[in-house]
Amino acid sequence: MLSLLLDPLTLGFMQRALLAATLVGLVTAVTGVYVVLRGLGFLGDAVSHAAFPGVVAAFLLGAQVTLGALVAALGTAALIGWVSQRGGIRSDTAIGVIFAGMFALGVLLLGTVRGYTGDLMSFLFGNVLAVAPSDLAIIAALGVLVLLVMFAVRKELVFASFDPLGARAAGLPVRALDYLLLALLAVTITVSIQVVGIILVMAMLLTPAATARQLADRLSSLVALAVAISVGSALVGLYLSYYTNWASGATIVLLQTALFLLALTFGPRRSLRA
Amino acid sequence: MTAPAAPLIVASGVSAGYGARPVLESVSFTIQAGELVALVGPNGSGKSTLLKVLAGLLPARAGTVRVLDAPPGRQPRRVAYLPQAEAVDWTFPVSVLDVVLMGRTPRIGWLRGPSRVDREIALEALRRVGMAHLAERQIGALSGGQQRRVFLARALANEPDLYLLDEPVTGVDPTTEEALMELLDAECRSGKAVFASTHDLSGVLGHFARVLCLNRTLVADGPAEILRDPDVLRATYGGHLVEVRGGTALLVDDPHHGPDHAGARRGHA
Repeated sequence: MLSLLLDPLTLGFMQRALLAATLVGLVTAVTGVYVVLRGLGFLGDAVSHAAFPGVVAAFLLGAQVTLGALVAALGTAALIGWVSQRGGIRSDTAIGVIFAGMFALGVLLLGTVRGYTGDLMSFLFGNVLAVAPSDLAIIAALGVLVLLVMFAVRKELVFASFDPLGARAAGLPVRALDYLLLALLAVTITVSIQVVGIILVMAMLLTPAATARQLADRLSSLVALAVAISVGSALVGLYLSYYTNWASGATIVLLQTALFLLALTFGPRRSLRA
Repeated sequence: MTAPAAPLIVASGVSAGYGARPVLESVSFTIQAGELVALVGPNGSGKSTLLKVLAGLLPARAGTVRVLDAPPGRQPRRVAYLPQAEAVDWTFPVSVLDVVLMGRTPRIGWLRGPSRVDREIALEALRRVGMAHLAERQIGALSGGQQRRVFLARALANEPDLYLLDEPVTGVDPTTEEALMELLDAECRSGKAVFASTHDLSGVLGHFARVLCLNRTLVADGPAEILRDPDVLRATYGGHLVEVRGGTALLVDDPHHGPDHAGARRGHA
């Protein structure tokens, strides 16, 4: 029994995969709590898809692919924030237009790539087993950065999310905090793409937080529970995929989805919206 | 009486609005330290807009505004703003005490959490509004009136010189309203000023010394008793006015916001 757990740990790629999955599970859970509470799900989906042209462009230019994803995700988040704060356009319309435009750019760029595009496909669907030591270093550095910033401004983020007018009257730069949250979301998505891919990253953000929301009504317990669900599913999913040969990202997400459905069915908070 | 200080609020010819739509036009008044002033008017008359301008949340398009001898919004430690209930996400997972501690934010500053002193002040504010026993409750689990009381406690915890309150007692039962108004009156007696919008005209007559009647511009400004004047009421409320008799206003007005609609009913006798 114990060897089932320990054997994979002797393999370098499994060690890196488990570390990467744990880190990503941790960061997505914390960011995801704000995504769920603020109703930013569609925006997160847009930002993750918008990372795609960044990935392809970096590949074409021979640059660091994570860097390309980060630049595209941050740029898109800023663009969406700017368009929706200008007014006159509903924010979901602004998000939809920019999201589709960015993804189209990615598809167009992909068409210009000659030869093998398998590496690029791994960004669409994620391949945590292929995480290189340098990737792991980037995931760790950016992940820790996101967590530190979140922790440092948690009092202000909570106030601005709960009561934006009151927060502004209390002297908080609510608009800047909104942009900061978008930026943290973009960085979180970038580091997660390695593990679960562009298409499934939304599940990492939304599902653990939405599950925890069914069970907790305090922010601290909500974050703790979301982290436990997220990291737990990531580790269990990774072992499962190791032994079954299932796709690792999909296995992790399906575990989270199962937990969500369980919490929804048996949880006590069915009357309150997530 | 001490030497006369500068007024806490000076508004002169203030116009403001959202997008292309003007709401307030050419509003002028001053409020001194120690004053308890009500702001009344029908829905869409600009009460919330005026309070937002004073809190620095909305720029004035024309005219000048000075709050505590500075442009609005510059001194968050000295001004407490209580927003309307509609502006708040009540499902957000924070406790009653968390909410009151938000009132300490301008004093705590960045990168620090509330100290024990902050917690003591927040709990004392909750005691004053009679909500200390619910300190650990989730804010969304409270009734509308209880939520208003918690927000008033948040304003108290800020320890401001000026209170800008957008409907602080809406949804509060009459006994509690009495207690809360006494609390605000005590704040004024200690030299602070309160400027509060309300739909409750009998409450204004019972508790406020002065009233500003707003209908997109300032219709009347004087002692609360001017609300007994049918001409003032007609000028303020227009068609909303149903009946005035025996010096007491009886009128129909919708306490909730949104487009005015005939048939909105809530009588204040």
